Amino acid sequence: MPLGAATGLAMMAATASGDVFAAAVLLGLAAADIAAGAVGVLVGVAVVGRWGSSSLAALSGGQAVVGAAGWSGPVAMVLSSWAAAFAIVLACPRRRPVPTAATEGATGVSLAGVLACGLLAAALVAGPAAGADPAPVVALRVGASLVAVVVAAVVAGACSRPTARVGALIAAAAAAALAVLA
Amino acid sequence: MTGAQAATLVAALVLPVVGLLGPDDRRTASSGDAERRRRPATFRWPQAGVVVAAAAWLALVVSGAGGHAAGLHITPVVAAAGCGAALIGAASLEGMTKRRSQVATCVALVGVGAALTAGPDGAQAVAVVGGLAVAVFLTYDRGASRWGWAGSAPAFLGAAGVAAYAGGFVLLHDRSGRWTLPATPTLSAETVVAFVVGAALLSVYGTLGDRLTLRRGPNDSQSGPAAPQVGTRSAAILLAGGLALGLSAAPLRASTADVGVAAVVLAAAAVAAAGMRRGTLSLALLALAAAAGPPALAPGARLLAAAGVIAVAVGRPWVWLVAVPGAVSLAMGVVDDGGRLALATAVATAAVAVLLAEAAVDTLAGSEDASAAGPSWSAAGLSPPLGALPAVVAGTWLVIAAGTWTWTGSALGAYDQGMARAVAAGLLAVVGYVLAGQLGVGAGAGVLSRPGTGPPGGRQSSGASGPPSGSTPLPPARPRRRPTQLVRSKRSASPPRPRRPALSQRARPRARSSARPPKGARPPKPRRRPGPPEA
Repeated sequence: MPLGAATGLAMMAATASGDVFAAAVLLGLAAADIAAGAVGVLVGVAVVGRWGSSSLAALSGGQAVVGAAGWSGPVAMVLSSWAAAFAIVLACPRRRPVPTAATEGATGVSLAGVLACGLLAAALVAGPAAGADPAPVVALRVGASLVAVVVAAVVAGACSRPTARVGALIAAAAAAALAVLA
Repeated sequence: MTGAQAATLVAALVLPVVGLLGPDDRRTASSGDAERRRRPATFRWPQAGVVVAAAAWLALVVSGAGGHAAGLHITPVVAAAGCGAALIGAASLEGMTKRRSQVATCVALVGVGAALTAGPDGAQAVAVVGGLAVAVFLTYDRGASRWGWAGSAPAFLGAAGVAAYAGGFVLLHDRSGRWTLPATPTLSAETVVAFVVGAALLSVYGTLGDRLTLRRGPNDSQSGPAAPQVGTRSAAILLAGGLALGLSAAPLRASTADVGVAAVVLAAAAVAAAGMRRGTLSLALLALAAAAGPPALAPGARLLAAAGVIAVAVGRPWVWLVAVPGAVSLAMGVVDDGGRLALATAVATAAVAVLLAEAAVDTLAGSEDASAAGPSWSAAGLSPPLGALPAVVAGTWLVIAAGTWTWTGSALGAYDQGMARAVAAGLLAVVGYVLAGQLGVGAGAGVLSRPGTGPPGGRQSSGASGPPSGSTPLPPARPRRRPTQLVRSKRSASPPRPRRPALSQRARPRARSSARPPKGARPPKPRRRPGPPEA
């Protein structure tokens, strides 16, 4: 279930299709953690607060019109987008390795989870839809996705799970508050 | 309504009773063949009749049937409710061996269908009150209840729901002089509140036995997992009927503001029900609260009601995923409306989602422990019974393509597109993972090569890489507990079970103890683990 959910989330984020609240459910399933699902819901509130729709296609289309969310628009909205992306990166699913005598109880980085969270975080900050000239947009999205996936892998490997959970909740709440109140 | 639709409607109403006319191998067995009379029938004609009736209702839903003919009327919501009631009936007939119970369930289905459809141009008072009263009387489980006030409480709840409907019709007659629900939004606030309260009471009555808990079965001392005892109560049929009437009456109010208090109270009750782990009831109450709220929330209310009906028919902890489309539609409605009442409903929805997710994780963790020889769904009581398969199909359809449920009035095109792609990608990934494990390469190799664990799933299934080279695989999984079952039980039926921590919180102490020994301490000797028996 976590592998399938993470792969599905990666597909939704990569193709900019689906609903951000459905993505939140997939994130919770991929991480097998209620807190991750709550982070996804708060990020969904932030997206709705800024773009007026929970559709990932609307998020992508809006960025194609007004510019990438990470550096276009009011400061509060820009900060909200960065906080939402950071929350998604922090909520990246960990995996429990196959239990062996050496790895019993340890946690590691889930490749599918890192990929999904990196793609979703990149879509939140720099995910415009391709317009008449797709080359720069594709380059921007590919570059942002690569950076986000690497950051997600590093953060997932460096932060312990409780720390990442608390940080993700704080960042997601800040993103939602900035988007709704600003 | 066309002639074909009218014929289909009549067939949907009658087919549950027609199924009772089929041969009963227990009845036709010789008097001395006691063993044959004890075992359940291999083919259940009543169940088949109910499933065909559900298909007839579905045909009415898909064809967008509406209108009236021959003293019957139909709307898409009514047709969907009839289909839901039939799905619940099919699930409740699973494992029902007493002929009297089968007859009661099938006749109750006819009663609910008559309550929903009788009347030339809308729900008629006599049909609603009479049909629902018959259904409550027939589905009241007298055998499992105790005598006295406490044992009769469910019957009183159902009767109170029917009485609330009767009161609503009396108020309607006082104001407008008619005994049928109007087609235009002209109902007073008191009338709408009476109908919504009646729907809520019938929802409580229909979901009384839907408390999902894990308790040990009666034959734990025997070796091997016990037979599944999960069964949907036939009283849950009233859930579909009550919700349909409540959802039909709520939009007929003359003003939204008049019933705002009722919507807030229902939302709070939904949160309380979720806190008590009555998931289906919380979904039903949330649907009623959304229906009593702003009109923008109506599609979400219908989707949540459909999710509640499917959930009570399937009765497994993973079935709560069917509520996702309703929650998404509700969120879209909140964005469109933007009022305080919509915001309160959204907050209640979020609280219910968190509480249901926590309950599902807790129950799934218990089920994981319940499987003695590995993460097997059948041993843990997670696989649905055969009679619930139509409901499972409907739930899968709802999760993947909720936008095609046009009778709900929802606009979930973007959701459908993304969810279809996500499900396709997820299934491909899982299939690839399993194939890699069977070929002994890549991701799933370590999981599937572990003896005695069965198919991948559970704790070790989320990985993306196999065990490190040179590591020692663990021995076969040992049974930690006796097999338990996932059953619906009342509070008095089982001792309280201490709540288990979430999966994510249980690995931490083990990681500390094994990864970081205290300073100055001698390195612990490697524990001798019982290995596989030598040849």
